[in-house]
Amino acid sequence: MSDDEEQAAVERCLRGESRAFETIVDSYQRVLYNVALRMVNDREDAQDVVQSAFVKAYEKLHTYDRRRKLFSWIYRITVNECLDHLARRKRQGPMDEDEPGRGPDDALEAREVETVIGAALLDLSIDYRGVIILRHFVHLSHREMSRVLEVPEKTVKSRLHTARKLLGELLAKRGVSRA
Amino acid sequence: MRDDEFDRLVNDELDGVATPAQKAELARRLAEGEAPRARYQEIQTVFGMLDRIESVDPPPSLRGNVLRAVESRARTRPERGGLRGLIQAGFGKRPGLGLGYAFAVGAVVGALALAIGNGLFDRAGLRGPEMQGALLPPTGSYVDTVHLAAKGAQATGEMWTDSNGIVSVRLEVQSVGPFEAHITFNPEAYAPVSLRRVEPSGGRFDLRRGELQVEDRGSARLELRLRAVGSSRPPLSVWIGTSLGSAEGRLLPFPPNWNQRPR
Repeated sequence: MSDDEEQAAVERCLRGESRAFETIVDSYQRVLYNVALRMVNDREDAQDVVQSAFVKAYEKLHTYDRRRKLFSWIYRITVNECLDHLARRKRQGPMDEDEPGRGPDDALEAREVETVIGAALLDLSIDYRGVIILRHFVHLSHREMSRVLEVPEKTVKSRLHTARKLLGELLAKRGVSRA
Repeated sequence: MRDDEFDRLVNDELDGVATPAQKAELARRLAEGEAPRARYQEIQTVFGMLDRIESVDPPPSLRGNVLRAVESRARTRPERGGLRGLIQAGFGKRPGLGLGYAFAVGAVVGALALAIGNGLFDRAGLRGPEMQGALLPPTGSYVDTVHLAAKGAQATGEMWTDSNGIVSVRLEVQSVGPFEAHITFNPEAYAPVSLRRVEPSGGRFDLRRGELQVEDRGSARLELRLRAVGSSRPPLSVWIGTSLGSAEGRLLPFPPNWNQRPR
């Protein structure tokens, strides 16, 4: 969806055409679901989070500043929903225990890699988790990430560098030193 | 060799954003020995693992659930954001018309105030004129307080009542950006009497049957006065929201700490 189409959909929603929100959902549901999935590391929770984020976005659409990218705004809402969800989950007690340690020569199947990475990501701060998700799972360029996160490209690169470094250390602690 | 500069070079190379000069520098460093090559491989492993994770299709029910929820909200609150949305849509992304937008908002507020003054609202709506200026000290008895904290905004609501059955709700909101605040009440139990605002900032208010909606930015203070109809005094709810989050609480006509204002 182009920027113009996006703005047209926003305007139609604000005029009361709720059907126009379909195009926004269709454009972003996959990306946001994957963001939420990697943020909360649970498929059902990710669905709840994204549903809630979309509904909030619809309800608050009139507060959206159109000088910003719509995705930036909805992404921010989704991340906040993830944070609220994780805080609630933390109060209810831990869901998953850490993965058991592995020998360096263990061959990791894709599913196992996903599990290990998912658990390690949860140990990163939300800013570092966010850049990893946007770069590696949503496949945004540095420039696109800069627009979404509303920080300079230099900051994006720096955060990515630190996030990968921390992630590497977390994986090493879990006994994963090479794939 | 495990210095930070080297790590950055490897990150840029693996990210595909290294310049020719950086590539040359990286090649030179890699030729220095086994240690930089091992470090390169470690970083590459992290990239490799991340890139092995595939994107997942969202559950088919997600889209339907969202659209049903949105439809339902559009049906129950069809005018939500409509007026402001129309005004904003009219000016769109043209910053040069910001003054026009402000004027339009002011005109809308003025028209509303005129409508109120001319008694255009029915029994469920506001019957007295909207007033601006300093809030008078509350009269009657203090009843309850609610403190709300949402991301980017906080609010305090206080309820007072007098012997004539007037229930006053004083709301103060502080926000770093745009916010919405709602005071919701049972229209069978309370009829609006007046609305007084302090420090008007061009925001919008909308008093309708059973609810006052305020859209503003920065700080806002107002007092909504309601007349209790009959003996029933159901709780009122207060909600604040920003683009980052929301919070909701209730004002209880007969709370446990009745008549003891917190210090």
